[in-house]
Formats: sequence, structure tokens, C-alpha cells
Amino acid sequence: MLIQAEKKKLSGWGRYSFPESYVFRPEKWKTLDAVLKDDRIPDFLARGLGRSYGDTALNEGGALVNMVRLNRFLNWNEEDGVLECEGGVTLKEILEVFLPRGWMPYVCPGTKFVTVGGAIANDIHGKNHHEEGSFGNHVLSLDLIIGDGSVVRCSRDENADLFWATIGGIGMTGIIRTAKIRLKKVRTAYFHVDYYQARNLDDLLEKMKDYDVKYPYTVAWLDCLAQKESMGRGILMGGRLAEVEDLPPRWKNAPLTPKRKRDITVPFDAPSWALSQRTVGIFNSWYYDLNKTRYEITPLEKFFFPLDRILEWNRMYGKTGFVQYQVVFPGSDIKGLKILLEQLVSSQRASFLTVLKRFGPGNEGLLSFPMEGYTLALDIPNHAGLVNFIEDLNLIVLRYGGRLYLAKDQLMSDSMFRETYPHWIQFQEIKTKYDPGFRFSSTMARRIGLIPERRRAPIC
Amino acid sequence: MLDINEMKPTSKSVLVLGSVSAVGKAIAHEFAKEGYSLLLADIETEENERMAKDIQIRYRVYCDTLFFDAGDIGSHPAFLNKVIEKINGLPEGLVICFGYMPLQEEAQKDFELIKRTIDINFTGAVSILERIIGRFEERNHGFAIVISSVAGDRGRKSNYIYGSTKGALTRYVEGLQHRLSSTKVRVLLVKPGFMDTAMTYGLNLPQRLLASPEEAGRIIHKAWKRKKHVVYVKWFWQYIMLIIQHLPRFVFHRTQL
Repeated sequence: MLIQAEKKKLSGWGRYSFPESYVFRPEKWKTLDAVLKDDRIPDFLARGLGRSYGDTALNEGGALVNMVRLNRFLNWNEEDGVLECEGGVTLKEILEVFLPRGWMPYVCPGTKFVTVGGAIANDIHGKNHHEEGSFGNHVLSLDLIIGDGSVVRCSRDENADLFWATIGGIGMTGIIRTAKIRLKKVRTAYFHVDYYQARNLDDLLEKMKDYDVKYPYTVAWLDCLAQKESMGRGILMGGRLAEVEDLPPRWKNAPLTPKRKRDITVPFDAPSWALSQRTVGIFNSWYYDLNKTRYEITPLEKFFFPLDRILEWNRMYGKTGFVQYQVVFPGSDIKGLKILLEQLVSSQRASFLTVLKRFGPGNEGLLSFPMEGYTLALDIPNHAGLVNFIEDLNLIVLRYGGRLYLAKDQLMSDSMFRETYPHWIQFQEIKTKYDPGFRFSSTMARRIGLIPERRRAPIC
Repeated sequence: MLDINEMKPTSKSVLVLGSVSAVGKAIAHEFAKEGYSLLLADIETEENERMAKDIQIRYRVYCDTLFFDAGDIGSHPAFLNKVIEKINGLPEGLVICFGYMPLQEEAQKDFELIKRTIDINFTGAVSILERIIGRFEERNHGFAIVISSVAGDRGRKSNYIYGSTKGALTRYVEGLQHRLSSTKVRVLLVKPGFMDTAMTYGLNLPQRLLASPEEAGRIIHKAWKRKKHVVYVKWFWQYIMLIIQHLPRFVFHRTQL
């Protein structure tokens, strides 16, 4: 039986390029199995909500398996907070269903529009990485469809090699049909957030050390246009889940169900000057001045997902799109970070969102991004000279032993990948063991040399 | 806290036939949200069980499953007995979401496909409704939601096998509504246009005309709450079909519809 597919040009969230592939959207396990048996297709890649910025969730000339209709909860244990669900379940759904009952995902990234499958494949992290690690740390087991179409269960004890290759494995080990994850018990759906207005990078890093001890959730926003003695000025945020006693009286009756505000949609592609150096400069100064050192109690979703209220915000960057760039430098040495920031500031390429955080120790995921050290994320509009600029940044990353986040990368070379992710060799061995025919592939995996070039002809 | 696996059915209950379909799922979710007990009936047992589990977890309502083959009308009496056994009586209402759409070209070459379409879409639906609606009438209480299709509003060369079964179903439901007009039993006739489901995926239909299953579920549920008799999903299909129905034949026959 052949299943209908749609020929489509899709991009990552950065809308940088739009390669063509066939897209399937199974609604049943039987259909999913039939899709993967389709011999016309050279290779497959699972795709969720397409929030990865670069080409992680693209498979030019092959097939994408859109997993969003396989989004069922299959088991829930109220006692220990273990949830079993299909890979297409989104964090939004988990929050909708479980937050009112006092549970939330251990790791929330900057958006709730991600699937559990995507969260695992990219081993995503959040503001609590220094305390609670990345998404993979809270995954107990996975049911994975591997190369020959069979289903293999893997966990820390069972097929552990496959488990740790899949955590952060950008979909190359197979398709996550179901996952068992642990949720976190909460008493309210509110956060106590402390803001600190930092004068410059040193001030910010100094205070961050303090905050990292005091708060389970920390992150800093940087004004990437501030120069000289103000370089690296920004707003440091430290958050912890609020207790019922912390809440103002009007919220106390329903501590787990804050009122939701309406979403706004960006209705069209903004003109290219919408996020120019000038407008970002105005925004940055305004935002910096707005957030004086203070504290507030705020709904959890506002703390985690400030941009989620603006649907399709990626259109703000106009037709040419943008590139996200996230680096981590190991250890407590800030030299690399400082030089990279200097480079960014002197280029005056306005990055709308520049975010700094200190990671705790990484996990055993072979291609997992986080490691102990400082991580900096930028987004840079796709204007002339972008590629050269990024190559300059890459040199700094290489020199100081850093690496780039695959979920955001669009331009890294294969040599840089292999140098910065030395476990790629082990990964390939495991890949070959469970998917010898290379039925799972992606534009990114081929680009960075994680898997060899496609031997079969592309289908489109 | 009550274990969801031990929940008991309440008298506020709905039987969803064809629950594994995207629309069936969406409507089931709408009723579960309102606290209804659900009985999901479908030919695909394993998928159906996953659907039920999902509903139990999301809405903490009673939700059980039964095997059901719409095209096998001989099995319907026994099936209905099982329904009564499971939820201790007849449900308050039922939703008919099962359907089968062959490719028109293939159906024209293979009468077995045509027969299957008639058996499921028309005979199967009538068999279930006839066996149950009389009892609703007797107790003067209950409802049925029947998913027909805009394809039944006028026969078109591109899809008249499927369309004719839905057309017959539409006529049947109209008669049923007439028969029940003086009772408190309500029947809602639903005429979806294109929906964004597995049935239409990959056909490159214009995005604007597509309704997502969730959207369809909300529209249908709202129409049911408002005690409507007929609802198009989405609303503009009523006007599209009005035009198509009234095109003079000499114009209509020149189209590729």
C-alpha cells in the first residue's frame, strides 16, 4: 500500500533555505509503518513543528515524516509523574493537560511549540540547565523504529548505546514512536523572577554566579549593540517556581491556572528594515531601561515563552530569513565568549535576541550540545556578508574549544563538526548497527558529514 | 485521586462510531471536554485503544472501546448489545463518523469497491441508526450526529460513487429529522467540505478551503449545542454548494468538478 505524500518546499524556523522533499503525515501506526516501507523514497526524517532554526529537520530530495498527528498520551502515572506519549505530542499539550494538575516538563525551551520527539532528537535545554540538565536527562525510555522497520526499546539499561545516540541524535537513529518522560511536580503555575540590570559583561557574569546558586532557572539577555565599557550590558533573570504563599490574593484561589492572553500573529513578511540595527537599537535601549533591578511574580508561560504569544514571529526578519547561532565554550574561562561578543559588537550586526547562560554538566548523549560552560545564542538577519561573518565567529569557537548547537546551525562545515563533536565516530558505529541501509538521513547530517552522501537518487 | 482506569460510565454518554478517523477523534475530544463518558467503536482495535487512553488521560472521563465493522451489518445487533453491556444501557447520543472513499477511477473499474462504499457509507449508517433511533424515540431523549458530505449535494464525475452514498445518507437523515420533529430526539446532519485529514492529504487542495479536524470538531459540537439540523464545515461550503447545485446542466457538464 502506498501512502499519499505532499511534495513541499519547507525551511527551518530561520527560513534560510527551502529545499524540496516529500512529506508524509501518518495518523496511525500502521500508516507510519507503511510509509517507511515505501521503496520509492531514498530516506526518511521525522519532523515535528519545525522550530529548529537551520536544516536539522529538512531532508532535501528525500522524505519527511510529519509526526504531529501522532500525538497521543498513552500512559500517565500520577504517583511518580511518568508520562508515556507519542513522539508528536507537543510541550504545549503537556502544559495544557498537566499544569492544571500540578505537573510540568522538566525542561522547557524558549517555545512550547516543540514536539517531544524533536525535544529528544535535539536534546533541548532551558533556563534550568545548570540544575536539572537537558531534556534527555528526564527521558526514561524510547520506542524507536529503526532502519529495518522494527521497533526497539531503549533506555539507560536496555540498548543503552542506541538510547544515548538518540538523545541529541538529530533523528538519525530512527523515528521516536513513543517516549517515557518524567514530569516535574509544581505547586503553582507562577514564577518568582528577579531581574538584575547589569552594566557590562563582567558585572553580569559576576552576578550570574550568584544567581546560579540562588535560582534553579537563570538566563541573561544581552544588548549586543552596547559598546566599549557597556559591552555585554544586559538583564539577568533568576527564577524559581512560586509557592502559593508568594502569590497575590487574586491568584491564590487558582494557583495552577493563570488566565491566558490572546495570541498575536505576524500576518506577513516584514520588510527587511523592520529588524535593522536602528530598530533593534531602539528596542534594546528601551528593554534595558525597562528592566530595572526588581522582582515580579509572573505566569510560568510568560517567563518561559515570551515570544510564543507572537505566532510566526520568524516573519519579522523578512523574506530573506535569519540564522541562529548558539555556541558553548567549555569551563569557566570566559576568554572565548568575550572575544566572540567583541566581534559581534564591532560588526554592529544587530542580533534581536542575544541570550547568555551558564550550562551545568552535559549528559552522555553522543551528539548532545550542552556541556559545562557558557553558552551564547544570537540571531542574525540574513544580510550581505553573513557567511563570512559566521566563518569569523567559527574561528573563535574552534580556537577556544567550543561547539555549535545543531538545532540552530545552518552553515557549519563537516571538518568543524568532526572536530567539535569527537563522539561522531561512535555515533556512526551505532548508526550503522541499527540503520545499516541509511534509511534515516537529513540535509544537515549529510552536510556536516555525520553520515555519508546519499547513494540513491533523490526523489525530487 | 480516582484511578482513571476504574472510572464508571455516566448516563451522559456518547457512542462514537468510526472513532479512529480524524473527525471522530476531534468530536470525541469535544464531548470528553464536557465530561461525557465515551464509547469509541472502530474497526482498528489497537489504534482505537490508543485513542481511548489519550482521552482518559487528557479529560479524566470514562472512555472505553469496542470493535465495530460498519460494513458488516450482520454484526450490528450483537455490537449494540455489547454497547448496552459496556455502558449499562443505551448512550445518550451517537456520532457516525465512519466512511469510505475509493478513488473514483478505480471504483469505476471495480464494482467491489462501489459495493463496499455503499455498504459502509449508506447501509452501515442506516443499519445502526434504524436499530437505535427507535429506542431514542421511545424514551423521547437522545441525539445523533451524522457526518455526511458536500459531495452528496450534487453528483459530479470526479467523485460520484462516494458522493451518491453520501447523497443517499443525506436524504435518509432528512427523513429521520422529519420523523423525529415532534420528539425531543435530535439529529444533526453534518456536511463537511474538504477537511485536512489523511483522506485528503497530498491532494494539493487549496489551504483556504480546508478545515482542520479540530476546527471541524468545534464547529460540529457547537452546531449540536445550538440544536441545529444541518451544518456545513466550514460555513462557506453551503454557498459553494448552492452555486454548484444551481449551475444549469449545460454549464455544469463543461466543468471538471
